Amino acid sequence: MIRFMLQKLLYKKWMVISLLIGNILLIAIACSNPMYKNASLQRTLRKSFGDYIEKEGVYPGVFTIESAMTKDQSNEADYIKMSELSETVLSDIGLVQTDRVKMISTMKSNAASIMGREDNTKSHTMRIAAMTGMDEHIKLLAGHMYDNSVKDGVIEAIVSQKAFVEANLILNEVIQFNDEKGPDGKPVVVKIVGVFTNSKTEDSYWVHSPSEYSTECFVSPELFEKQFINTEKQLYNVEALWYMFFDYEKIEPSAASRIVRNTEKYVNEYNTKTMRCDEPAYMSVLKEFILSQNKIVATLLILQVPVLVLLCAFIFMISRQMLDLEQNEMALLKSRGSSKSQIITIYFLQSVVITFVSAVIALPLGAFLCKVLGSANGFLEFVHRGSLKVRIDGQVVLYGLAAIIISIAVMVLPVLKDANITIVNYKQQKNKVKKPLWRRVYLDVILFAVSVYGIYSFNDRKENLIFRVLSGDSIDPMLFLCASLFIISAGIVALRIQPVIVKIVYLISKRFLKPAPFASFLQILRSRGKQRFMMVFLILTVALGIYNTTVARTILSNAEKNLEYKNGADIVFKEVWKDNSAFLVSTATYEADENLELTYTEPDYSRFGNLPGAESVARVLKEEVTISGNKETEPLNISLMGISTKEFGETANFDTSLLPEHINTYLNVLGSNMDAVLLSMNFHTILEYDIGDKIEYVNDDGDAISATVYGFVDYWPSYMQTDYSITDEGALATNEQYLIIANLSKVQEIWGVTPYQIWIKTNGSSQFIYDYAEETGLMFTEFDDLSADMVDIRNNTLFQGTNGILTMSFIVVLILCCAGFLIYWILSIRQRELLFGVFRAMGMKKSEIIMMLVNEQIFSSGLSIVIGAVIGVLASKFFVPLVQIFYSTTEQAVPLVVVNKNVDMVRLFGVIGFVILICMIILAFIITKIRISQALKLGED
Amino acid sequence: MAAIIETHDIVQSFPVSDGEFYALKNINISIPEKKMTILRGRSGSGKTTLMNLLGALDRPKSGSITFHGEDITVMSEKKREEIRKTKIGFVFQSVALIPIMTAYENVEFALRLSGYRGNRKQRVMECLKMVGLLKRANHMPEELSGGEQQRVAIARAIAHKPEIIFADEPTAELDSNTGLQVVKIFKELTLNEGITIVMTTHDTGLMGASDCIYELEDGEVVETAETGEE
Repeated sequence: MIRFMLQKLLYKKWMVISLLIGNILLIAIACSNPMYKNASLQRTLRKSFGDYIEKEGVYPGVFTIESAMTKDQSNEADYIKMSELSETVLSDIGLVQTDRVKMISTMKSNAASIMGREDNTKSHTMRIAAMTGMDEHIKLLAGHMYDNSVKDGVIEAIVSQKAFVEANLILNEVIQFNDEKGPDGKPVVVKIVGVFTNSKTEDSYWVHSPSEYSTECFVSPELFEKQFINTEKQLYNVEALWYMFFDYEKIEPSAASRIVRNTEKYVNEYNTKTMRCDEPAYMSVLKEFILSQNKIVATLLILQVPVLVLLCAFIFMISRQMLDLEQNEMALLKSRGSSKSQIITIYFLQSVVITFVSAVIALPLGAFLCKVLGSANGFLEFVHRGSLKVRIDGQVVLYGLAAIIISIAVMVLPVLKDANITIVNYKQQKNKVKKPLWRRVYLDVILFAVSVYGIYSFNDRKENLIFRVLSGDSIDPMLFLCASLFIISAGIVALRIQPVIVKIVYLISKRFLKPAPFASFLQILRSRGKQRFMMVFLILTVALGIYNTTVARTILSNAEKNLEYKNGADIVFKEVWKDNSAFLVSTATYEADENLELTYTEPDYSRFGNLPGAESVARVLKEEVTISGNKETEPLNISLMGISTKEFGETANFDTSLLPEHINTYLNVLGSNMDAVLLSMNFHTILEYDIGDKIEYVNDDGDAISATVYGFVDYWPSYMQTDYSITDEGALATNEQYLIIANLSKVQEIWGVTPYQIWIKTNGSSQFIYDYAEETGLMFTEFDDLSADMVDIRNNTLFQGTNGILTMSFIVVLILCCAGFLIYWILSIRQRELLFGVFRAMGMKKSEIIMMLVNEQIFSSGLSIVIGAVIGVLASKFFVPLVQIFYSTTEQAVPLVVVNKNVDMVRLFGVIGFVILICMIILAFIITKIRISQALKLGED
Repeated sequence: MAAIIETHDIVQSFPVSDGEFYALKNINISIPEKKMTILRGRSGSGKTTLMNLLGALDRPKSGSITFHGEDITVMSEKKREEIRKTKIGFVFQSVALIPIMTAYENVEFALRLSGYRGNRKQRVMECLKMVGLLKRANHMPEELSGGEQQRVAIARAIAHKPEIIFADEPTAELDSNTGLQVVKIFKELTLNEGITIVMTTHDTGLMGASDCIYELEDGEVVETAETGEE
């Protein structure tokens, strides 16, 4: 009896462990969603600000308001209002102010030196200004700092280096502002006592750099307020600017839309001359971020839902199984007078304990999962990356609690039904096996049909789908739901097919079967689908694995291929050329010489080819052109690409499958005649050009080159056929782009040599070009490094999150599969210990029993893996072409292609195989522990 | 009377929490060939343990057991399996049928296992007929009554024509009438088929049919009675 109890507990030990695993994963994943979302969005936001600074050269952490006060206009109140506003506006918007700078100035007016210097007789346009906190952000190049007081009617001021030079000043120069008259009617006199520049090169204090202050004479702010401001009755025309600074890195992603809303309110409210809020720089960053944020948030959630549902199903099934084992006890409890509510309370408490124990483990696990997500580089592929800053906040707790409540509900729900059973019902029901409801109503088949319908309907609306994605929509949840539904329902439908397959094999081989496989076939066929539970998870594991890996590989490969295509070559840049423009400008003032033209000095491009690391180098001229004789009314977007065919063929990156013939064939055709051109296909389809036609293209200067059409191409390195833009109404507009590919030497012969791009093929690393640029001080006007952009793709939050979640879902399903597998086999073997004893007693060898189990494995687990693989491949085939659309951008030029890589499959099946092997070892260990005599004795209890 | 099995001072013990529990202490018995032997005793007296040893399902701590003069306690497991498969049949107290197989398949399975060379179908029917269950051949065990199940078990045990059948409490779960019927079948087997039967029971009402009775108490043989020779 004691042994029986122990064994029963042992059954339950596995169950309890499984329930814990299920709950831990459920809660951890639920919590990891907000944790990862917030952490990665924070990172994305910070990166957007960083990119903005890099691109625009403007510090985005500043909010500016303006006011003006004019003499005799009685608008002092506006000034006071704005001044007050400057103190509160940032906190009203929801930003934390770090600094506030007030820049106040008089209007620009004529100022002239009264020193009587011969070389400075002209008057200059200048103004008196003051900026708070200036002393901490400047260094004086000459002279000294201004004084706070007026000395003999003269105000001390400092000027920027630029103003010093432009106004032709000398130190201690005294200038008089004739139009600015004080209450006594005397003009204001200023003495320049110092010249300053910024003390640090990168200083956010300088919203405008000192060199932009070329007309300002800066005086002490206190003095300015005293002298030029009178909020009772203003005597001078002044304008004031308040710069409120904040740390943009501290902006919470969740606050972004609130900040945008609040800011807009101020910008709209204050738009008069005397009271204005300019649209701050951070607005465009935040607005763009909100768009991508919505996409990221939706994607992460949609991707996680299937695995959360699976986890709930898993918990439900385990509780169900556990209940089945405990029905006896429950019935006993009932017959001994326990009420229904008492039994439910017992199970409720049990589930509360399980979920809370899980929660304790789940929180840190969730945080860990976030870090794993953050380091995902591909499917089942991780790299070391600066880890995410994971925080546990209210939202995380909320998600966790929601998961706990759902889990408790799932665990207690089956009890409600069973709590009614008494020992009598139990004994009666014991032998009656009713098919579950979903099987009787063919729910799985119906769902499967629905998902198949979904495939057709989505394919029908593919165009519409593309359009919506390009206009910024996030993933259609229905599509993802449909894919999950397809995989899950197909898996369950397959369970109806599995017995048929087994039956066929059994019937064919029945007569010749050895006892072991004979018994195992009957076991599979007549065990009333007890192994279904395990099989479902095995099928889902394999199917999801294949599907997920295909999705991850495909979206990454599409993005990479597109980037490769768009860039054209490994490195593309344009160096700064020396030209005679300076000479042209200087001569222009004296005489207009029609013969003078802008000419460039062509640097030696071949020097790049000699750099170690460069395999080949090509010159590519890109020029906007028009064609003469154009019948279209709208101007066409036509670009010319001048190339030298041989070097271009050696250097450009191009997927040869994009054109019907190898690109070299086209290059050879082009190279065969100097006057030949290749045209983009739309010249043929839209403008109705044909091979052999003449075409004349014209540059900005009106110089025309005539050429003969030798061929048409759909794709060409770096050529984007369609350019998408969003119109003001929010609709998606497409602009057809035309391309003419011509021989560079021909173009240069007519138009002269103008700056062209350098394309370089590297031997893998692009470091050499950076080294070279640093060494020689090479300057670029354009620069694109493919390898750096490739890294950017992998760091993209959307891709990373997708890869991370796909990997995580797969690992979760794998764990569930493993648990399901072990539970099924351990239960099945324990329940069959007596049977094994009988087999052994009848003279069956231990090896035969193992053979029997192996055979059972082949036709349940093995078959599941095969079925899973088939479903996975089908799901990939049907859904990946649709799903990949969501990861494409408006810059997608090359066709989207579903990609499978063997290395992915090897890795996938390696992982699955390894896990199953471990399970088998555990099983083998359990089997060898069975002793026949003990097994037989079981029957005595 | 020729003995098919003889035991010599066999001792069997199991580890328990406070040391070793001796289930069998120096058992010396012999099983007469083609006769029906009953091992009698209360629950826990060691009769099942003894039977497991006799049937080569388990090995004793010490002592030897000879089967046709050969010591099976020192035999390789492979050899013992061979003996179990070809020369021995087992009938158990309960749940002894393979639940996933019909009555017919249960019997046929034993034939498959023993590598029976003849016409399997014919032999199965023969055996089922012997126990009077021809009509229920295609029923699953759960559809049969206790007595019927036990009769299928007997049919299965004799299917491969073993020399000896071990039946552990075959009547324990049956009412006395059905029990008697089962014993009657055993008796007929010894007479008609020349099979040796070893059966454990605590039912005194069945003793009449036996040829030899060993009574066990606390792991020792306390009484021996040979009824059949008288």
